[in-house]
Order: sequence, then structure tokens, then C-alpha cells
Amino acid sequence: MTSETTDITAVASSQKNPIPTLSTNNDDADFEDPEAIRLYISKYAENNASLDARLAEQLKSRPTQDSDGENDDEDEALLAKEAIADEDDPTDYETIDYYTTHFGDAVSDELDLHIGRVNQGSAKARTFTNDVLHRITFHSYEGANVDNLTELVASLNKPLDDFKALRIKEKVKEHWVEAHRPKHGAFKGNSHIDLEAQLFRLMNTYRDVLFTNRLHSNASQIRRAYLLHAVSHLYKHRDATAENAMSLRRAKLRREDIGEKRDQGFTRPKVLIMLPARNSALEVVRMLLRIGGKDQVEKKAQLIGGFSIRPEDDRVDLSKPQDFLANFRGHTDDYFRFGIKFSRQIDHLFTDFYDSDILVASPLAMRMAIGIPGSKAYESDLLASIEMVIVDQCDFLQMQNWEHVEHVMNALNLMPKEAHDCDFSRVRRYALDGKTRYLRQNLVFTDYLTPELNAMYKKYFQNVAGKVRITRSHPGVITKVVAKIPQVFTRVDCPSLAQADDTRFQYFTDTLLPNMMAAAWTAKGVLIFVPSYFDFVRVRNYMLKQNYSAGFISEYSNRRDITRHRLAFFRGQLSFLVITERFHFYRRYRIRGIQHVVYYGLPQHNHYYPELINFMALTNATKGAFDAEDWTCTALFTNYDLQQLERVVGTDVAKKMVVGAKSVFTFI
Amino acid sequence: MTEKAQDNPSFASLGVMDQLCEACDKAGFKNPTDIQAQVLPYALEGKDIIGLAQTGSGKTAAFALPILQGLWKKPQPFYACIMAPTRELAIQISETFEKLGSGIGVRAIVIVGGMDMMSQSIALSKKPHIIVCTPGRLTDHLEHTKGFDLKKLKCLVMDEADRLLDMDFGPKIDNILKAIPKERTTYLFSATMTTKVAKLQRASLQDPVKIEVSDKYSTVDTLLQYYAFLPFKRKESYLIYVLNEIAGRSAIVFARTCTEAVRISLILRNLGFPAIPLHGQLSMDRRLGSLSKFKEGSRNILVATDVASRGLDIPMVDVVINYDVPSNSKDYIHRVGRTARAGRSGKSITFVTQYDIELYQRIEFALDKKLDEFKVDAEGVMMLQERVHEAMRIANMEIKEDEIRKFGRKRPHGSSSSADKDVVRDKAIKDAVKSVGKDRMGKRGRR
Repeated sequence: MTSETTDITAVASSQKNPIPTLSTNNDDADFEDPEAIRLYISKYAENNASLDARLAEQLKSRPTQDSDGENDDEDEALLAKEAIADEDDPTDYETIDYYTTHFGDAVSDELDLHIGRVNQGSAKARTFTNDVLHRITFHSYEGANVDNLTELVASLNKPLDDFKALRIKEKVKEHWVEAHRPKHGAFKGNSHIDLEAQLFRLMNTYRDVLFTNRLHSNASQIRRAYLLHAVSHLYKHRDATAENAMSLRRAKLRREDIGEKRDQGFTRPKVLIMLPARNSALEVVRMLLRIGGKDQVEKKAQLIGGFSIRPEDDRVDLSKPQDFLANFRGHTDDYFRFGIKFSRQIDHLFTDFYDSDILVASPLAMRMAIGIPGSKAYESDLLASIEMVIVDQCDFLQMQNWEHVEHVMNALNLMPKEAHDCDFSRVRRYALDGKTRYLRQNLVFTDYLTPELNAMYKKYFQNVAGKVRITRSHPGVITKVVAKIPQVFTRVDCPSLAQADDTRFQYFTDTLLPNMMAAAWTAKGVLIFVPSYFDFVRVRNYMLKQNYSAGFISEYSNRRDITRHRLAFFRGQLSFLVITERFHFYRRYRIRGIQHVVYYGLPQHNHYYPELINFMALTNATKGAFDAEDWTCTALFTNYDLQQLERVVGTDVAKKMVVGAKSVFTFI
Repeated sequence: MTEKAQDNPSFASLGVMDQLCEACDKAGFKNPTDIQAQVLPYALEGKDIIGLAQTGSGKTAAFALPILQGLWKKPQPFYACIMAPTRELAIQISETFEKLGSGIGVRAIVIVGGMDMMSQSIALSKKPHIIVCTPGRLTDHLEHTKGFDLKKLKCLVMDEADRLLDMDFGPKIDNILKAIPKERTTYLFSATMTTKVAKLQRASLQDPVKIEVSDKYSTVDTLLQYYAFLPFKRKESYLIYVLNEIAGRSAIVFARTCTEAVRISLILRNLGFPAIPLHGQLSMDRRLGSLSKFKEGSRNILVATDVASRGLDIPMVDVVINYDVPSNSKDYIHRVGRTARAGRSGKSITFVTQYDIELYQRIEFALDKKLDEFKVDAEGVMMLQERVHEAMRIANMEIKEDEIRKFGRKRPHGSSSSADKDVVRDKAIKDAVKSVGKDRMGKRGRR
């Protein structure tokens, strides 16, 4: 992302000599280089001479028709009835309704220009900080959605009570207030200077958001914020289309020509929410129904029946840590997809996909529904007109299979293959041109940032309104280690990212393992934590070949093997135990008998770091052999591991550790 | 008619506006052709027109220019709809519109069968100015594509109306006529005035001006027409002989049936002639592919059925060979109309066997003229005989192979296939594949 942007418009307008090309079809314009953009703009100017421009002129100059002549009694009622009663006159406020400025058909006119900037990657980065969101980095494109970022950031701190100025529909506001009432007692408008309000204000500008400070404790605040936004979006969409349908009908009766009203996409689903498991889906949908707020909900029993389990059937161990319980309590099945339809009177659950407004699905189930790209059965039509994609709990999704998410992202906003009863005269022009993806809002929430998410931020966040990345500087978790154990961090310097795996493995086998074996006291009770399964396989193969007395547990091991290995390790029959991060994520066993911890790589979940070390104190204390002197902790990291490292040792320290001549660091 | 008195009218003097005159100039239309000179003044006045003109007379531009000019005066989406009998012709018409109208930013789309409905629906909803279509697919869209209608259409053109009606598009055209406004300009072009066309005219045109450019059954003066009288069983050899004579020039060989067209093109290829077939059994893509290969000149012999006899604007055909005598004189006119276009000279040779004499005489009667005989050196033909027979044998095997591939081995392809016959056949197939080359292999692979 470069912060240097050239003033394209200025250059173009100063060019007095437009190229005489008159094609109105600019689809094939190449926006890779600034020259092409300049050319495009000059084409634009020239096009004023073309048919379309003439047509526009004529439309402007045409006198408005008076409809005094005809007054059919029958249609009197319809004609008299003015705009939708639900909403007050939108001209009341001076603030921008971002829904119109972002998704309105009018954006089609200059969209190519903005898309050119997106594809060029000429985003300008600006970073702000505040207490709630911590670090907010805007990447904005020139000309698109230009408002004063400083003002926007300042407004984030305002309480969430100016619903009218935020252009939230009256209905939505009522429900939202209602939804908050039980928890907060009487609703006080100014009680929401918090994450929820701030996130909502950001999302309401239709920027893409990558939020990396999610915790299980702020999860529901985040969910409320994005659901409020999604519901508000759907209501605006529904009211706008209803109003247009009405005026088209009225115009037909009056036999006047009001031109075209383009206000929708090809297919109905507009919001896609991807969640890892049924338990989160249940929670999200419940919250959604409260904010969406109809008295009647169809098939609610089916939701409860299919997405929850009775408490007595829940076999989760309640003594496990909170973050584990948050993920694994309730129904943990990861294969589900269903549609939700909002109609005027009633909310429908489990509707046919093509008749739904919201799709809620796990990436796996969505992927199965879509099929294999290129095959005949590839079915991306239902995702053709997604305007908002929400990916929550990305950390969990990464522990499942991130590929599924990418697969679904790739299937978004493709040209549909069939019409699916779509009214083409209402489809927005940019949709017809296949450019919906440049307006789609991506909202991604995660506990921690990974290279995959950074890649997603770069590759899939193509919103012309710009994007925001919310990060924080980490304090680190070193202080959470209870016992006084020397923790040695060793940097393995890698010449390139591609060689990082090999270099690390080599260091591990050539230096670290022999060192541990050299002394008898370090050669037993060693827990080796390997974040990636691929590395795990490599380490396992090596150690088996070298006849180490070691047990290996991964996410694929069966319960019996796990028990056997844990017991043997605890009893000292096995000197080494190798586990993967996914295993720990899914099982969260307390592993006893540890005397030395080796981090082959640092965990993505930073709280696993002190947790595993604290296991030593826990188990050995009960054995009565409390001797911190005998314990060690070694962690390997490479110069490419800044993200994991900063979460463990803290941002400031980590930045110093990845560079410089010194490569071994000890914390006590 | 005052315009006729003028010897060499220019587009501008006929009332065509400057931008379009420029476009004509760029497109290589220097002076208006007869039909253009006669149609344009009335069309620009806004009259309905019936034009009776043979193909190649420049009638596409004759209706394109007034439409574009009208569109410029009053731009609107869905201004004009042009109906054509075949997909190829529709595509050519839209190319003409693009050529002439690109300067004023006209958007034309082609709505024909055999292409993806969805992308056509999307293209339609982008509101182009001009639709060029075959009637079948357009009615499809009128019925099934939500939000698409032609209630504001200003101008309707029926090109090659006789052919449209021959192809049973009648009911579809009626449907379309019902879906468009009564107040509109309508042009109807036809090569012949049949009763069906007259009926269509009464149904769709108001107070039309009738413009006839040349007599019903006449051919251009620059066309040299010959016939060759030959024994039926030597037909192939004579064809090869004739093609050898005219080597290097482009030619269309007309056959009566699809299978015959395929067989001839295989024989020609086996003998090293760059031939491609064009007939109704090819898929849309392959038809267009064949046509474009021929147009760009990589193959200069087109073996076609009557599919190609009308409406296709193939520039630079030097010779037309009627391998089979056309079954009526109308078809003959259309076939030979493929050459000697736009003032160039051309040659046509009709093969007449002992069985075709009556048919041929009827054509001569309709043309009201006796054709010259094409001199063939019978000895030279006999010398080719042996090689031609070998090529025929291989071609026949290829066709059989192809059938087996299509329908499986169950087809009765000779119950007495002894072992050595198989060996011979395999060798022949190998040779055939070699000589046919990569192109054919590629096509097989795609199936």
C-alpha cells in the first residue's frame, strides 16, 4: 500500500487534447497504469458528443409532464398515497446516507475510475489511535467517499443516539433499543461509547473492515454492531426497492415516463455471514432476530432444535478455559447453511437460498453448495449479488480450513449463469457490468492477525470506499507466566520466507535437539509444540527415524492414542511429547509431566504460550518436585514471525528482536 | 424519380448527415449503390419501405444509414430492431452498424439462437440502441426475460423477408409485431415478392414505398456463367480438375446436402486442397469458425449447402461452382450471387449430369439466356481419376469412423469385416489423419 498518490484528475483535465475514440463501452479499459486512466478520462469527456450524452441532455430539457388529465377512480388511492409511510422525508437531514452514495445506481457512472485506483493499489494510508479500537489504519482511494477522516475518527467517540443523522431507519432503531433494554435496564442513549458504537459508525460508511482485536469477551458487542449494520442495510434496501416499485407502478398508471429505477442485484441474497460452528450461528441469529425485530418468526423451533443441544447432553468440560468454552459449548457441528428472509410482517428462517436476504453458513457447507470451479455444477449464482460479507471468528475458521473461506470469497459476485427470475430492468448498471465486487463490503473479525488475513485484506478487499484495518500494539503475555523460568527466544535467521520452514527444521534437528540430548536433565519431560501440522509431520518422521522416545499427538489422533501418549509422557516412559496447535485448540488438555517446553514455532493463540509453561508449575507442584531451576523454555522464531512474536513478547520488544545482530534473548 | 436522373449521387446529396458520410467513406462506401440511392431519400423522410433487391446490392447500408440518422436526431434505447433469417447474417448486419455507427457511439447487439441466454439478457438490460436478431430468440427474450420490452421501438427491419417466411418464422414474427408499437417505421427487404411476403407487407407496413432495383431473375453483367456437361460418375474428378484450373482463387462449392458437403470437403482435403465445410449441421461456433477461416483466407475453398447461399457477405469469391444443380432458379440466383459482387467480375460453373438436364433447362429458361459451356479437357480428367478414387475411399472411411465415434459401434457398418479389411482400413485411417492434419483432430477432441 503506497501512501504516495498522484493527482490523476488534475493531470487528466489539464490534457487539452483528448484522444478521439468514441466507444461507449469501456469495459476493456486497462487500469493497470495511470496512462490508461488518463486516456479513459479523456474518452469520458469526448463521449459528451455521443448518443448517451445527447440522451441525457434531452431528458434534462424535457418538460415535466402534468398528469391532470386522467384520474382513474380505481387507482386514486394508489396515486394519492405518497412515498412509504415508514420513513420520514430523507431530505430532512444534511448528513450523507452512505447506502445511497455507495450502492446507488448512480455510482455506475464513475465507477471505472475508482476501480482503476483500486486495482492500481494507490491507497493512501492514515493511522489514528483511540482507546477503544486502539489502532485504526485507513486505506482510502482518492475521490471515493472522501470525507474528513479526522472528523470521522472524532465522531467515533460520540454516543450512539443520533440515529437520524446516521440514517438508521426508525424501525431498526426501535428494535435495537428494545434489544438492549433487558441487559441495560432503561435505555440511555449515551451509554454506548464503546466498541459497539465505534464499530458501527465505521461500518456505516461502507468501508471494508478488518478487525483484529476480537476476544471472546467482546464477541457479542462486535456481533451486535455488525448485525445492526446488516439489518439497517437490508431495511434501507427493502424500503428503496419498495418505493421504486411503487413509483414505477404509479408512473405506469399515469402513463408518464419516470425513466428507469435500478436498485437491486441479480439475485436476492445480499448479506453472507460465515461462522465456524452451529453454536455461534445460533447466537448470531438470535441476536439478528432481536435487532431485525418481528413479532413472528417462522421456523424458529427448527433453529433451536437444529442448532442447540440440551445442557445435559453437552459433554464439554466446564473447567476448561473461558475462550475454549466460548468456542466449544453447545452444538459444535461445522456443516450448516441456511437462508433468512425479512418480509414486512414476519421473519422467515430456513428459506430457499434464492429467496433469502441473509445467508448464514459455515465456509465448509458453503463450499459444498458452490462446488468445484470450472465444473458444470459450479453454482455461484446465489452469491452473485452479495453486498456485504461478514466473516466472524476467523481464528476458529483458520483452525478449521482457511481454504474454504477463500473458495467462497472467490465465488462472490461472479456473473450469474441463469436469470433466476430476475427483473433485468431493475438491476443496477454496475451489476450488469459485473462490478459488484468493487462495492461489496467485507467485514472480517478475528482474534489475531495472520499472513492469510493480510493476504485477504490485500486480495479480496476491493471496495472502492476504501478499507480499514484495526489492530493494536500488544503488551505481550510474558508476564502471565507464573513460575520464574528462564525463557529463551532464539531467532533463526532465514534468507527468504520460502526457506523459513527448512531453516527452522535444520536448526531444530542440528542444534536444538542435540543440545537437549546432551544433558540428561534436559532430555526428559520435553513438550514440543509445533504450530503447523506440516511441520509436525516432518518433526515426527525425523524423530521416529532417529529412535527418540517420543509420543506424537495431532488433531487427527484418536482419543485412545491421546490418552496413551499423555499417560506415558506423564509417567516418564516417553521423554518427548510433540503436539500441534490445532490439537491444543480443539482438545485443550492439561498436559502433565512437563519439565521443558520447546516452541518449535510460537503459537498463533498467544495465551497458549503462558498456558503451556504454567502447566509445568501445575503438575510438578502436585508432585512436590517444585524446582524451577530444572525447568527450561525454549522458543524458536524467524525474522518472518513478527506477528506471532509481538503477541507473545509485546510489540515494542518484538520489533527489536526480529532485527539486529543478537539472536538469543532470555526473559525471566 | 429525381434521384435517378442524377448520374452519380453522393451520400451527402441524398441527405445523409456529415458524420455518417464520413463513416461511409471510412467503411469504403464511396458512392451509393442503386438501392441505396433509391431507398435513402424516402427512408430519410420517414416512409415505410419495401425493397426488392438481390443480395450484395448494398441494402444493409441502405437501411442502416436512415436508422442511424434517425437515432442521432432522437437518441433512445431500443430504437430499431432488425430481423434476419440466419445467425451469420444477423452478425454481419450488426458489424455494418458498428462500422457506420461507431463514430456516433451507437451500441448494437446481436440476439441469435445458439448463444447463452443469460449474457444476452444482461446485454439487453444495458439498453442498446439497435437489436439485430433472429426472430426465434427475440421472442424467447420477450417472453422470458423480465424487464425487457420493445414498447418504445421506433423502427423495424425485416431483412430477407422471403427467407424469414420460408424458415417458418411467420408465427414468431407475428408475436414480435404484437409486442411493438404500431407507430413505427418499417422496412421490408426481400429478394423476391412471394405471396407470403405480400401478406406480411399488408400486416406490417403502412403506405409503403416500393423500390425495386433489378428484375427478379437476373444476374449481374460482370458475372461469367458457364455450365459443364459431364457424366455423373466422374463428378468428383471433374470438380478436382476445375479446382486445379482455378488454383489459387477463392471458390465456393455448393452441394445439395450436408453429408455431400462433408464428403466433398474431405475428398478435397485428402487431395491437399484447403477446403472447409459450412452447413446446417455444424454448431453455431463452428459455423462462425469456418466462416472466419474462409474470410481471412487461410482456407480458400468453402464447401457449402444452401445455408451459405444467401445473405453472407463473403468478400472476394472468385468462382462459384454448383456441384449439384440447384433445385430451383431462385437458389441459382442466390448461389451465383456470391461472386461478381459490387462491380467485380466473377465466374460461375454449374455441373450438369445426365440426370440434371431438365432442372438445368428450367434455370436457363428462368434466366432467359443460354450459358456457355465450360471447356473441360476429358483426358486431363481421366488422368486424375485414380488419385481421386483413392481420396474418395479414404473420405468414405473417415465418415464411417466418425459415425462410429458418434453413435457407437452398434451401427451396421458392414457385417463382413474380415481381418485383412481391418488392416487396410487402419492404415487408410492413419494416412487420412495425417493428411487431414491437426485442425480436424482438434475438432474431434472437443466433442
